[in-house]
Amino acid sequence: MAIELDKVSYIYHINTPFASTALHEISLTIFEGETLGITGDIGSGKSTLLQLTGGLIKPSGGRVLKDGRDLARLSKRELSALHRRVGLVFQHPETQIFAYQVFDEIAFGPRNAGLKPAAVTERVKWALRAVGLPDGFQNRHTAALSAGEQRRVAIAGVLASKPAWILLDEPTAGLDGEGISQVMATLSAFGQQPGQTVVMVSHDLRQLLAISDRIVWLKAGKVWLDLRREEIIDHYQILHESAILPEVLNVMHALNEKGWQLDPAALTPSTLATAIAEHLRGEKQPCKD
Amino acid sequence: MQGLSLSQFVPGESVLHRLDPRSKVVTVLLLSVAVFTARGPLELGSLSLLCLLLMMASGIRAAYYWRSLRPFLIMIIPTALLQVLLLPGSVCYHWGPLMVSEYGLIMAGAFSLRLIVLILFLRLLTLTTTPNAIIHGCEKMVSPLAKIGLPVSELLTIMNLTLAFVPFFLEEGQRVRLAQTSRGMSLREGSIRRRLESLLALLVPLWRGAFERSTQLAEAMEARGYSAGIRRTSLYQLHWGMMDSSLSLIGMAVLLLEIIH
Repeated sequence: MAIELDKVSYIYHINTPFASTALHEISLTIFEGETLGITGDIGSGKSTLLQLTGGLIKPSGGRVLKDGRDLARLSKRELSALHRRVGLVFQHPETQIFAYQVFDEIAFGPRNAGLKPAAVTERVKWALRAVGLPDGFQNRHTAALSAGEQRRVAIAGVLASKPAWILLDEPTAGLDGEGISQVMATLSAFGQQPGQTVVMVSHDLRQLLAISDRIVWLKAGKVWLDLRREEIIDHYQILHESAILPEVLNVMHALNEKGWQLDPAALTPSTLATAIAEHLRGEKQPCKD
Repeated sequence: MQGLSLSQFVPGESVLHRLDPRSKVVTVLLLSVAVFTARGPLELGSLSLLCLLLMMASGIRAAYYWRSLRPFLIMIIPTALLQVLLLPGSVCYHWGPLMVSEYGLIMAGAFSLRLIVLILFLRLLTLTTTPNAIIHGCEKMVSPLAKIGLPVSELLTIMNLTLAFVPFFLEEGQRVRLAQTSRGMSLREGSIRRRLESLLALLVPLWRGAFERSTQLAEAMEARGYSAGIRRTSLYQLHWGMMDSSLSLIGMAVLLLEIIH
């Protein structure tokens, strides 16, 4: 299942004096199994793009195609079937928590899918592990959790339905350092499962570099850059001119300038360190001879 | 997001936009009474003409008026048709069993015109005045009631805040619905138990959000010095000018003429 946006525009308050264009004729294909990062400034249309992708809002112009079929032409039943395959994590998902106990909150999706009680319990435990919460957490009360814990319970509630596509809008917003690294670890592990598609919107390029196969930069409602992971460092100059970049990119660029040939996909501190170590090992060998 | 469409205000620079909201509210009230009490074709005709003139003065595209009229046509057209076909009187056309009487035609025309003009008068107010200005105007008009101990200002603050919460509820409701739908929530399928839980999944976050929002708002207001029961002045002062007096006088004159007539 690929989702294709074909010259999609989106205008808020269309046909009113308050009309404002969020997206202008965007064309983009999101492939099954990839982890796609979407970034851009505030107001560049990131969240709108995400909602269009999930078929939650209808484009003002252009088409959103799923496997070549126009979402606007799907029946209500087909559309709700699509919604069920797409897991959504809105900004501040913890505001959607409704159950008294963590177990019931996470079990909501699996129960709706008609799973047997034993399978539901399994799924809840699995989802808790996936977001890095300890076993036994399912017995806690949702109101007594910290903000970071609530966030992870909310994400677990979405993961528990095992959606083929998971769309996240700023999933780390408002979390502290530890919360961020836990959520990111969850997403990284989740995105590596075969066939799992993850689309994450964030203004933090560092977080996207940690998990993405491909990153799309939006600017004023248009796709400014659409780069596969290994292409990013080649576009260092143009990126550098437009924003403050994560140190990983600065370091890699500086080393490339010295003529080092590093793995262009090594865009996290740990993978870059490994790449540097390998390079040094490779350089030493000729010296011995 | 969708909340904006609730207020039909269209920004503009016309005379009607610049008028004091009080004069607009008063005039629209007077004219509405006039529309209801109008009997003859002369009265209805001149009210329609006045309405047309005001619409032109507002400088707002006809499409906006049409859009606000459209939903009411579902009610107006069938009622008018029934009147045309069912009211007795001297017959002017007939196709088989269907008969159209002169009296029916007149009644249907008068009825439709009356409703349409009434709706347009109200729209004239809401299209050229922001909801806040309308409330502010009403506040000023009823403020004398504070002298007899009614908490006018507080009640209006409550009204204002309630209005402000409408867009929030719409947007938040949409968000929660989408989020829970993606977790398989369904209010139409499944056992009663499942449906009840789905309803909870929708309502609990909505209520919680509303309470959280209102607590925050209350704290923010207190932090900025709000307290009930003290006299307040407004940032935006209302100005009652010549135009306002003239408009209100026209409204009053129209109504008086009609009563005398």
